[in-house]
Amino acid sequence: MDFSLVVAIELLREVAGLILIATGLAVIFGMMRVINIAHGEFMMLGGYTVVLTTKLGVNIWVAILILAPLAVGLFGIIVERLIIRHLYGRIIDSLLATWGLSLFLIGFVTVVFGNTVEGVSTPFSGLAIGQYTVAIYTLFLIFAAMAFIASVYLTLRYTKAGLIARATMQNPDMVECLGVNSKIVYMATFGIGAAFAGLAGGLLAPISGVVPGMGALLIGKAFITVVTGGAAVVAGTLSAAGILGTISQAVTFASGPVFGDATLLFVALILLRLLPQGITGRIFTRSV
Amino acid sequence: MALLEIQDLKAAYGHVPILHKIDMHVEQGEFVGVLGHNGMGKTTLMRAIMGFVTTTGGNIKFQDKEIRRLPTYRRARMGMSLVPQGREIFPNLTVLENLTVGVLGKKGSLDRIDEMLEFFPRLSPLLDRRGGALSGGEQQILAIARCLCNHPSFILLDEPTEGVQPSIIHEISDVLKELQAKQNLTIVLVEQNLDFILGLASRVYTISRGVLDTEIPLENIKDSAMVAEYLGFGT
Repeated sequence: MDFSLVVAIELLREVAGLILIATGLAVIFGMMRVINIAHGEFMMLGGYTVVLTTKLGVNIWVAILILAPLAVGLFGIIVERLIIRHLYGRIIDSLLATWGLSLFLIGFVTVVFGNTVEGVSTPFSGLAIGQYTVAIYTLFLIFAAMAFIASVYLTLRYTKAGLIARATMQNPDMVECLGVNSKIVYMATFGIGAAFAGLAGGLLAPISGVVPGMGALLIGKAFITVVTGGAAVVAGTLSAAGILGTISQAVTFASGPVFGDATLLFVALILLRLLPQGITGRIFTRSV
Repeated sequence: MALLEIQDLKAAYGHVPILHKIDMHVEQGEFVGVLGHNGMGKTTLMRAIMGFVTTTGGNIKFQDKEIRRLPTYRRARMGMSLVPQGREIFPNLTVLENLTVGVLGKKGSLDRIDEMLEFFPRLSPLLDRRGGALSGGEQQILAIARCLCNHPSFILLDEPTEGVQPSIIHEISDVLKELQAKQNLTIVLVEQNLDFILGLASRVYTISRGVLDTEIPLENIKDSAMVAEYLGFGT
């Protein structure tokens, strides 16, 4: 019983991790059709924001939940205005530009901070479940991921800003025709997607550590989750993270992390072969 | 002073010129028609006035202000709106959400939706249905209602009867007449349906090969055979 509970928590942790790293990318790709290859480096910047500000004495929760998303969100807005804005509708060009940005960020952060792992202490201790111990921070991450995706759903589904964003995603010209400045909507969307990446990086910093190349490790899984999920931001991310996270973590338990990651890729390949538009291209087609 | 005054307007898609010389004026409260064959530049003219097409010369004055270089949303905030060819409703939003976007575009009151539903009672039972699931005629009504939710003073209507069943064409025609009379709307209508345009417009321009400078006299507009002969197509 205790073992089953621990396994369930670990499966949920993997799903939560995929939700956290993929949501920002899903917002930007799903709503703007921009593949932000620098998404992993945005997470890395969120991690470094937490490392730096906690070293300066800032409370770790303020650093993770406020400063990391704020700093990276503002950086995302600057990137949108300087680079992305000029590349809308040019998916390959925007992909190459954000790839260049990711290389620049890795190089810049390496020069400034060095290529060493920076750590932040985990804010909680462990929780005993029978003879096992589970980090309370793991439970917090699961809760944070659920709150994270629920907030995106509620915002898109029930707020005026969310309605404008969904309309802009479907037909930017008509939204302009009704008096909405679609450039502002895109800028805000990119900023919010970047802020989500910053928050994800901040949340993961205490358990994974922070290093300039960490984005490259995360972007692959995030990208696969978004593509497998399809166009719907929330339903796509949830369904893909649920399937891929559960299966890969189960295989990790049975055979180790290398086989777990390989299984994640294999399942994604099968899903995309069966559902080329992603899960929400066939199922949950009316979802947000 | 004309509400809309266009002088020597030129427009192009990339390097391909489409509009060569557009001269027209529209007074406040007028219902003006534009007739022309397929491919003569009618839709491009509508989209150029709204700011979607790159204009390469000339002037567009709206409310006595030069707007040729203004972005589309600024024109919309001045009171201009477009019901485009093909409707372009938001297919994955419900009917109510489509109308709400129309209101929110200019931060208007949601009461406007109820007003529009009185004009278009056909939409009331469809409020929870996705826009993409409506019939062509229902989508056309939704597109017009959404535009009106935006509280425009000047509407560009691009072939609203295209692919729409006759009963809905009559409904649209009746509502447009009523709205224009009650709310002093100014409307420019591009059409190939002569009966529809004759039932609504007080003046009619013709456009041919990207040139619009000819107004058909009102007495000739009433003679649909003469108009058909002039344009080279039948009613």
